[in-house]
Amino acid sequence: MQQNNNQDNSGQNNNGENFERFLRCVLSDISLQEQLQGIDDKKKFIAATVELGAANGFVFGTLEVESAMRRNQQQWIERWM
Amino acid sequence: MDVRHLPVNFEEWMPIRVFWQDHRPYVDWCYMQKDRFVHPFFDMTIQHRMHDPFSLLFQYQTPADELAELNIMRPGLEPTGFVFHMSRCGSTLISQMLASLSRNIVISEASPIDTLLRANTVDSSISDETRIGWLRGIIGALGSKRSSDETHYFIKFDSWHTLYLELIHRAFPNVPWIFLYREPVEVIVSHMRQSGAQMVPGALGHLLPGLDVFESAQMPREEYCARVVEQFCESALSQLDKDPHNALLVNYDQLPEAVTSTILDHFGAAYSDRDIEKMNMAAKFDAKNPRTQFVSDSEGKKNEANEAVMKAGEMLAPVYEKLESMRKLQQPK
Repeated sequence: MQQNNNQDNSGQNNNGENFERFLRCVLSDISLQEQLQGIDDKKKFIAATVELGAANGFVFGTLEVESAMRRNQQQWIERWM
Repeated sequence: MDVRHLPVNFEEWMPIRVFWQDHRPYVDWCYMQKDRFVHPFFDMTIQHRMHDPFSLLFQYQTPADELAELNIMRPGLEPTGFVFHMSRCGSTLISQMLASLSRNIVISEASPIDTLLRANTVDSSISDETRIGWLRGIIGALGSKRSSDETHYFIKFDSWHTLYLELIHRAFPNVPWIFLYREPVEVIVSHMRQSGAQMVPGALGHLLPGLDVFESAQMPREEYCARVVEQFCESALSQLDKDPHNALLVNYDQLPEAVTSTILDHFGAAYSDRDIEKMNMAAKFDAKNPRTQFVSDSEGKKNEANEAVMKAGEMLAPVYEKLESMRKLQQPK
């Protein structure tokens, strides 16, 4: 399991980096994916994502998760532009 | 953007979008689980899937150039048949009838296919061969089996893809195809009520050879619509001439009965009586709004046609007559 070396740092920038690294980590680890798949409720999903990140040494908050979801939604909406 | 490569195990992931980065097309992959493409259009199924938080947050990206390699790792079904059409002529009814069976994969007007097929409008140096490779790749990926039930694979293209029939045929020379058309006045009235993207000058590049966007925009909407539809019909007729064995012309008036008879015969797809019954049941509902019952609007459209629409319809009379005479020559098959 990839571990976050910046877990002692704080601040939004580190949170953003940690979250991006966590995304990559999940995408390369099916067992992590399975822990988040099937959570239909958005709030519960975001909380579970933050919790799973922390459990694997990636410190970030709900803000990073929400922003990424919003960004992906935006990219989908703008697919024709 | 950071490119995240697919895992070895990616059976439940499907390509949903193609985007450009550093002058190269990339594919977004979404976790689809076992969700089938049952909505009237591909993007509607994806939009529905985007309500799943995991599918929205976690997506892979791969270069389009890797699609061929991915298809070797995850071979999908070969296409059973292609549906081309002049627009607003019942093609969604065909795709919805086919999609009513879980053994059919039905991809209806998928934006990833469109982006790769028209990649030369983004970069004119992209060769036909490259586009053919990408087209095989994306169609292969979309035909991936996510259930052991799936045995047939149909693609309904966007109406303007009829202009690319020759290139599509080069990519898939053995796949049978149909071209669906309808009485022109009814088609034009439908576009006057609500124009499709293909009827907005410049929205999809230059659909009318010899006319720039300004000239196209100056033209009456009815005439522009007629000229665009004429291009689609002429392209279908031209390809029919080159590839008569794989082609079948279908008039809207033959629907829905032709789906479970002539069209499936042409595609070489056999189904049980129960399956046929299920497809016929799907035909009872409005294809674009499957919660409501289908009610024919042909008479209403004819009554709604004003002078400009009638004149535009007359422009299409010769090509419509040609389609009709060619169709009659194809019968009985």
